Amino acid sequence: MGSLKRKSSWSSKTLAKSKKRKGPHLPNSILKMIATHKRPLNSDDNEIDSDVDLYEYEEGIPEEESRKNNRYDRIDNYEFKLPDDFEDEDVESEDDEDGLNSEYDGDDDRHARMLQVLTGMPSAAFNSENKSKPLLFTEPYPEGEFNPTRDVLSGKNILTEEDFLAPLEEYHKTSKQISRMRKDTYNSLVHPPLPKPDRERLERKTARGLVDEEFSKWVHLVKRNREAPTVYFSQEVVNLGKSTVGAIASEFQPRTEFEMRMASVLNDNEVSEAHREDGARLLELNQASSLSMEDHIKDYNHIAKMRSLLFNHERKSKQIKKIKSKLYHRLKNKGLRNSALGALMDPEMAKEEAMKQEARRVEERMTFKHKNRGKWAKRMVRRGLNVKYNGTGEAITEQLQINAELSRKINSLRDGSSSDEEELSDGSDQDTPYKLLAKAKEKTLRALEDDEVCNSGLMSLPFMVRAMKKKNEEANEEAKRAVEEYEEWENSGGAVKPKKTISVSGRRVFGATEAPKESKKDSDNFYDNNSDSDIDDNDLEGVRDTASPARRNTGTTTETEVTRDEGGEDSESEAEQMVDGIFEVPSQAELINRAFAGDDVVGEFEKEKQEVLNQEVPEPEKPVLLPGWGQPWPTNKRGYHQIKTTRKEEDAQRKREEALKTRKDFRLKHVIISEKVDKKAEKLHTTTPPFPFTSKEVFEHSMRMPIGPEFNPSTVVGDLNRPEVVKKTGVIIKPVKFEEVNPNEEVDDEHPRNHQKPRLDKKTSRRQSKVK
Amino acid sequence: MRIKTISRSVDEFTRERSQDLQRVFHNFDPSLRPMEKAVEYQRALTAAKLEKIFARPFVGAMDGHRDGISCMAKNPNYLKGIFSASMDGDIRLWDIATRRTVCQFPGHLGAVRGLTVSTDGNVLVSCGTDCNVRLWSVPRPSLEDSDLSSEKSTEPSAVYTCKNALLAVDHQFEGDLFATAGAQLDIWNHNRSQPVQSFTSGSHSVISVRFNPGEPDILATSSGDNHISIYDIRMSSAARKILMRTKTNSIAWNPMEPMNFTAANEDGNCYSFDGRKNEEAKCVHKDHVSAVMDIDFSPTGREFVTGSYDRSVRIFPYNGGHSREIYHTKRMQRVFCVKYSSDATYVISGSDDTNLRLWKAKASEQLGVILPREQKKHEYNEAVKNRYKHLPEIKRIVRHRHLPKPIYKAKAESRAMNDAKRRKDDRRKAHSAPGTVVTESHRTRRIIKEVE
Repeated sequence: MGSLKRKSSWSSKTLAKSKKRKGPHLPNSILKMIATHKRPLNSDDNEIDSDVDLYEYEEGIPEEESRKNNRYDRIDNYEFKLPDDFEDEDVESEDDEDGLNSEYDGDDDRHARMLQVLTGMPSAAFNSENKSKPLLFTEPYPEGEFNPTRDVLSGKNILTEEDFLAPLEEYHKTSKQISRMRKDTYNSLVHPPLPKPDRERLERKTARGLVDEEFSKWVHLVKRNREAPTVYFSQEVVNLGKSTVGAIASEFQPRTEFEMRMASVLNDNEVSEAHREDGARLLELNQASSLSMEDHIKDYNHIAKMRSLLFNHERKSKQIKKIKSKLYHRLKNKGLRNSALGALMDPEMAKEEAMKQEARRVEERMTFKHKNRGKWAKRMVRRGLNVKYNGTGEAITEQLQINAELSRKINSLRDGSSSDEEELSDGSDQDTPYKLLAKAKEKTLRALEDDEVCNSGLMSLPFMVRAMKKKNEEANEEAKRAVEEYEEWENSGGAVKPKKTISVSGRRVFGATEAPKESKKDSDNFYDNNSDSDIDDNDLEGVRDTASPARRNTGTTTETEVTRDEGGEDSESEAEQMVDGIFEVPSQAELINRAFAGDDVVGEFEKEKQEVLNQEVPEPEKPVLLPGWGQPWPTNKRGYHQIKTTRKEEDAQRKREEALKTRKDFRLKHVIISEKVDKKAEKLHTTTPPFPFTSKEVFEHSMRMPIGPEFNPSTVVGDLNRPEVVKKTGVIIKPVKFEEVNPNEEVDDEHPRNHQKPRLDKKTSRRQSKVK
Repeated sequence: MRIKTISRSVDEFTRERSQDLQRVFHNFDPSLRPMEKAVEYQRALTAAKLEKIFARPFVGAMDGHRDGISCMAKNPNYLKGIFSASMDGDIRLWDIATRRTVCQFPGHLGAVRGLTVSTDGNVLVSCGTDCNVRLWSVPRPSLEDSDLSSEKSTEPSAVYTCKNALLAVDHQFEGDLFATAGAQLDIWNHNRSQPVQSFTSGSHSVISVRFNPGEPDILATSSGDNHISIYDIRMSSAARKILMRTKTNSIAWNPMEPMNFTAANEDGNCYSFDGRKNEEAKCVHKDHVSAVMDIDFSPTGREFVTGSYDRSVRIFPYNGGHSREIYHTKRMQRVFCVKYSSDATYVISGSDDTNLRLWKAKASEQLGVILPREQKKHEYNEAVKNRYKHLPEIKRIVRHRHLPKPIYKAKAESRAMNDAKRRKDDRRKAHSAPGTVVTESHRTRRIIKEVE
């Protein structure tokens, strides 16, 4: 503000000098407005800025100012024009001293007034000096304080306020007062308004800034809404009145007499309080009214129940007594006796019990009696009552438990064998091979002796018996053979030893020696025997596996022979070469030639390519000439028709060649690039990615996943298919309301369909809307 | 021996009620479903075809005026009510549900040119060429009133007179000010017979005025000298002025994006502007072949509807260059006013043939109560169609519209002209020194300048 004023003051001082004036007419009010808007008070330091702010354009000299027609008062133009050579405050001070004389030309009136005040002379005396006529003036009175000299009057040596105030400048306080006084004088001046377009332009400029500010505050909100995959316009909606039974009941008003009475009881303070606080109090209240009656009913019911129970029991016992069958009673007694206690006492009974248990197990496995197969269980399960009622659920789980118990695998028999195995394997680590052999032999023998088979259950069936017999015989034979071998090995003694160690060590070394085979068969035999000894085991495979070591041996030898045969003559010859000790390595090419002696790959490929070419660019059909047709008669070699057809053919041929030349694989000898277009697949592809996508990869990624309910779990189908705008028909959508939005807020746009939809629980993109 | 069995837990497969759907499990392994893309494409195609089949946008016409409809106003507070005024000075309140006149507001002597309703829906303001501004109190909708035969008429609650004919009026959103446009722009208060504020600009009259719904103090006007101006009524002058080559007939602010507005231009295009950067349009919406007379934004801010002198109504996406939909009927004449309903479901057009027409905003939308499964199916169809919309066959079906012959011909003609012009420009460019011929973009071509 200060600076501006200073400028204007300065301009007024130097008006005489400034012939050429530029810059806008600045009415004081506008200056004030701008200044208050732009900068704090009394900031003199950024003068240049203000300059830039205000005069960013240059205006041509108005016609009246160029004085072409002299229509206007000269004096009018002298008000508050800034010279374009104006630079700085410092310049001003220099000018002040230089142009002291001329500076008051414009302010004659004031000067006159001042002089009048100072001198006490009438203003007419000073006014006359405006006219620069050379006046002859005789001075009737002596020159003095109150009588200005001639020079002063003619304006040559004018006394100014500075002259008077100069001595006072030294006093700080007064100088300040003086400067303030000066300002005040300039403020009080009335400036002419700017031309209308300029004024409007300025007004628009300020208004524009404010409006833009208003708009800019919406940017983040708008951006968020635009980027949201879905905007919801029906979230806070929907007050459809009473939606639940509770809501309806809460507004119930009793109308009839009965309802009134009910309400009076229900809304009774005492009752409700009792209900809230303690059940006992409620009971008390109850007792006061209807104790005897209810109690009576309860007792009566209880007694009736007991009586009916007793009656039922009696009836049952009578019925049982009536049964005359001895068998029944015996069984019944037996059943009583065959409890767990009895089983413990008697081994015979225990065996029986076991058999029964087994039978039960078999039955369970065959019928699944306890696996919710019963009518009751099925019904319960179907209706979901087992979930609903604890008791039912328990009963069903109990049954399932029984089932689990009964159908559990029983390892009792196999357990023994496995433990034996363990023993053996443990022993094999520590014991000498002799002992092992001995044990094996012993076992085999025992197995041979122990031929008895359990004859109950499945095994009692005739065909099973037969099968078992056969198996046993085979097994026995093998066992016998094994025993023989054991004996042999025992006899051979120390020679066997190293073989055994080899077998135990687990690593087999194949070489010229026969040892590994033996060790293999040995180990096989060893374990096979064990499995063999379990006669209960029905596994036929296992039985077959226990082939005699001898047979095994022969088998392996034949195999090696076969491989040798396969090797063919080459390998034989090589072997011979090797035997000779001179091995000539054939060259790579030769090897390849030898390896692919039979097939002509290149030829085949060329043929294949030709086929593809023929298929994609078919050869032109040759016109089939029927004898006597298409040829003029008598036939000469260059008949009319013939020429025509050949031309056609040539054309077609040439076209084909061109087509072949344009193919991508025309110059590539070893490549076939198919240019066949699949028309059915074509409709599923685009040549360019559609609009919002710029890269092929991103587009393909977005299309990778199907969005249908068949291809996606039902939990995400809704999200995948949600439209961009979710609204409800009949709900008025109000315009957007301002809310602060943090632009750095994380937008969760990770979504299968990338330019759409977040979860519904994301409430950021909600808008207010209301139903009417 | 081990036997693999299908094991299903009873709990998961037990229905709570017999009406419940049986639970079905899918294996979502894509290798098991190699044809999913083809399947979805086929579905998209079917959806596109179904959309065409079900596209029945015309709901009904509201007949009653005796002259062409000049303007309409929707009640921001009541979905069923719409006001319309005709060139003979007749103002009517319609019930959209029954498509009948509920109430009439007689009084204007000349054509009524502007109609607006306060945000609370209580005051109707009308103005016209008879230099009058009339304020009416809107009758409250009530259940007893649904008596079909009764057509009430009411007296204006206030009449204010101006010096000049008035061409448009709009009410402030959630305020008690309204603005009239005529020789000058006047801001009025409900209770005062003189305007509280006036803006004059140039010698031409102001054609249309529209308040910003998001920023209640800001309004936009268009004037006969091809200017579009933005005012802040707290300031003494316009904030922005855009000079275009042709006149702007109407302006609509985006209700969800307060800085953006769209101008319906005389040259048949609509121009979307950002209120802060006016030197170029954000988007040029082309499709009409004649002057666009009126424009209204959908309350969702994602679409707007335009009515044109070429006898068609079009719906544009707010950021798309071409219309999504065109509505026309044989009997519909020049469309002078269009409105989007407050729930963004319907579009209402008023035309020269004295009828108001009610259209669905989405031509194939199913009206009435939609069950959740139905809704899901619709959504899926829409999504899948949207997904494959770029494929030629689907694009063809979705874009296909029958046009009235005049529009079709005019379009073909303008296309030919544009092509020729472009060809010529290209050649000129090719044969002159690089950089000397500059083709101006569509977004700036019709804008002369922003007035400083």
